[in-house]
Amino acid sequence: MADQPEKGLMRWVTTTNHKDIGTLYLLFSLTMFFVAGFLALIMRTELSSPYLMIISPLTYNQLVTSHGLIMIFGAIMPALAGFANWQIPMMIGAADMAFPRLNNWSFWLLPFATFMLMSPYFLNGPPADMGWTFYAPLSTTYGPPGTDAMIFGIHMLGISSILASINIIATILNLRAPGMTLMNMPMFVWSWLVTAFLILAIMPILAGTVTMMLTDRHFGTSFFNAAGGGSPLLFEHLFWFFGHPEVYVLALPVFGIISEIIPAFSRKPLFGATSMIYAIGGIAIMSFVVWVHHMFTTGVHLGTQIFFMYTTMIVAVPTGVKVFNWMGTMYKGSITLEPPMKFAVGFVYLFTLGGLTGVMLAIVPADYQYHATYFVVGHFHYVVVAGLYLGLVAGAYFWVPKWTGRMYSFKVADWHFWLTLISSNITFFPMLLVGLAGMPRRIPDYNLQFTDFNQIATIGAFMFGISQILFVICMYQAIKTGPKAKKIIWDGAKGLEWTLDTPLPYHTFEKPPKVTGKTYV
Amino acid sequence: MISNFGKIILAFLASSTFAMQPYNVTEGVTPMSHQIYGLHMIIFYVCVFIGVGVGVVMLYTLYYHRKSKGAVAAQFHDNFWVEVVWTLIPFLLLVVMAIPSTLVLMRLNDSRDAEVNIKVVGMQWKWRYEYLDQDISFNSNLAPSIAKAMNGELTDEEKANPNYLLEVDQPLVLPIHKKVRFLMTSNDVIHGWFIPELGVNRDANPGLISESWAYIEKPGIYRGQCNQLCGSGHGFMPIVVVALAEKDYDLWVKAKRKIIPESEADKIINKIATEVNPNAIKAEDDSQKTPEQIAMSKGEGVYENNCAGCHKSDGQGQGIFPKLVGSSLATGPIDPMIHQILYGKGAMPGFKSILSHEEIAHAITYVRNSRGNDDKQKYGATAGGLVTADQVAKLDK
Repeated sequence: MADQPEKGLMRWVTTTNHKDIGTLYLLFSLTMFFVAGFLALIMRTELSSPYLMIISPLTYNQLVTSHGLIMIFGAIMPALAGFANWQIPMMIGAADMAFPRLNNWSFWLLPFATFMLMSPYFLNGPPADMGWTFYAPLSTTYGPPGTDAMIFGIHMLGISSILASINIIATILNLRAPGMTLMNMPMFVWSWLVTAFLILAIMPILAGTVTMMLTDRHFGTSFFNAAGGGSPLLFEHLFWFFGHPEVYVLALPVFGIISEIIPAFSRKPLFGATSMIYAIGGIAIMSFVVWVHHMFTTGVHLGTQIFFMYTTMIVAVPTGVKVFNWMGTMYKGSITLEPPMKFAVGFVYLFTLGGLTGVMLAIVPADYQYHATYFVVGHFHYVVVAGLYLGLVAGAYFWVPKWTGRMYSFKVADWHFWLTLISSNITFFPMLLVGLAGMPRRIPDYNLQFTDFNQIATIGAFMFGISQILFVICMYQAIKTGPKAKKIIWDGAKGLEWTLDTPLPYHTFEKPPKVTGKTYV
Repeated sequence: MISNFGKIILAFLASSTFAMQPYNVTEGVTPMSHQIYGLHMIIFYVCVFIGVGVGVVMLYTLYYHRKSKGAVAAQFHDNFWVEVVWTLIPFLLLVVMAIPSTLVLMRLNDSRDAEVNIKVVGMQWKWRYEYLDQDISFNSNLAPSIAKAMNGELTDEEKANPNYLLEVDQPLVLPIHKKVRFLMTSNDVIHGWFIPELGVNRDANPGLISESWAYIEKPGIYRGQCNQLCGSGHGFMPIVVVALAEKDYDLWVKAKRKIIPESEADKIINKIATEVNPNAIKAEDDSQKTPEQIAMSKGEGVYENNCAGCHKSDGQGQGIFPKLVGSSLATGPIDPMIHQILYGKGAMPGFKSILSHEEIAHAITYVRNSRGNDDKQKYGATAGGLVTADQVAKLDK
């Protein structure tokens, strides 16, 4: 094992170092974030006024599909995997991940899988055009040829996620430093442990679903074709049995990041850490029994609707506990508002708003007026963009200086925070209002009564997109040009990774540290 | 002076650009939509209360517990009772919300004892309505036509219509003060039948039937849209319901069943359209026209909505879809043409279950007599001709 990385391109292709692979994941994720964001801006331009202007309705549907799939599988999940790769071995005092070669393979599947997903745009398409939920039979009997590329792309993305999850579970369960019990693990590690099990449970279901789509399309089966005895509702059930836990796959690791940042800048231990662990577990288990809340208007039986209304309302309770615990951590702390803390606080509040709109959606009769309108679009963008994206950026501002040994400009990062906070609200709040007024989602053209709110949202979207360039500037400073960082970067931060030198050596914890007492929890 | 100034302000407020656009769920016109609205407002205020509460506590903490304010961190990290309380309070709040929601939901899903039964069939990209208690069925297409809207060929006047994309050629007509049951299904992919003012939102799934119902309290015109992504025409399949007082409704049913002249039906709809909006574009009065003129004008509408997507508005075809101008089928004997439209051929679907005999007859008449297809010197004696619904019925076995 060499102490220094190889030089040149082959370092990145052949690397088995968890830090290198983490870097690859994060850079890939940032690239895909801009790609999918660009697709969103094309859509927002089309929606900036009624009447069809720059793209055809078919192109619009293709963009809707690609934007959703790339953001979820190409941007957010790889970003989470990147943080897992960098942080988990260091936080538990391990030298590397349990399966370093598998780790390399899990990453390198990703760019090719995403390329496969996008390939119909460059080949003689047409690309998939049925939304990221690709409901049958629009995606089977009526799906364009590009749908097959999407199916194989999703298979490869799924394999990548499953392999990464196996690696993370093996690492956490086997490679902890002596003295670090499960209940004494950092919250980020806990959240990823639970997430990895969620991924293992749901990815095979998605793989099975898209395989059934494939055989329906080409081998004469009728899983989702009513004419052959199948049912389009079966597809919706299968998809959302994957799709709902997937939401928590995206959210839980970010909860972990926030649970590391808020205590550090409040200079106070995490409030109710044990109940935080139970809340993560509770959310994960409940996430498997709420999926029909995506299907309240499909005509499912009344009893089913009532059952899933109750379970959906119950899932709000552990989520609320997490928010209250973060507030309890800040309460009577000694708070400073460096950029990571600003983003973390922004996350807590905007995620709460996203969660509250989710509680509104859980009330089934009211859902009849919200379902498949822009209210839903506003709701999940509050959760994912105004919430999770802010949390991921907080994590980057928190840890990247430690990894690289260079500091970004606080001034630029502060601008980034305020512009992101303001513009994400300008973008997504009008969507909630126009949705309540009854505008359906996924339409390229709309009635004149929806014009004003759509124009505001478009202005916000462009502000949001352009502001993210500041993030790239900050990260460039942190990697290349910024001033050297000290060993102690944040005085309140606790954990094994902060006991190491800045910048981090290429290999860390070749001898496991000894952990004594209750360090974190 | 002041009154003039007031007029200017009023005109300013009334002009469409600055009028307040809708931003909340509609109260609607059915008992169920009122109850949904009530639940929506309660849960909305509960959420606002929690949201504001969280915000205030956060801002307080961020302001008073700042290091720069000299705050020294306390080191507590657990408090059993606080945690129990903030788990129980949201739980109890949700229980309180769950009870009325369940009661309303049970009523919303109880479509028994309906007096009027309507089968709603979604298809790419229009709705078909079948009155199961009467012998009435028709398709409802975007007006003026989906082909024009999707190709950007609308006139400025059509674009300025306040009901842009929310206007159909034939609305669903329903009586007020009667329980109307909707049975939704689909011919192809999943569609969603969503009319906010009736509080009805149900998917139309191929191969399955889903139910919903409405009891409309007020005559009027209520508009909605398909809300499940169903292909490229998804944004262009609106839903319009015209609710009539019982007397008008009975008259409309009679007109539709041709017990009284069919033009009476249009008159009734025009009347209510004028009551709702004096500037509404009125349907043409057909009573003064010859059968040929009626067939040509109605046929053009059927053609635009069902044929122009492939064969183009100018009948020139595209790619694998053949040109209709001067084609042997459109200028030759009539029966083979009727047969192909009823049963389809190759990539062309059959329209047997999508269009009525009359509509098929109108469309054929239109194609055979437009763009020079009726030139008997060029195409022979078979060209042109008025096709009747009976001729179509003969071939529909």
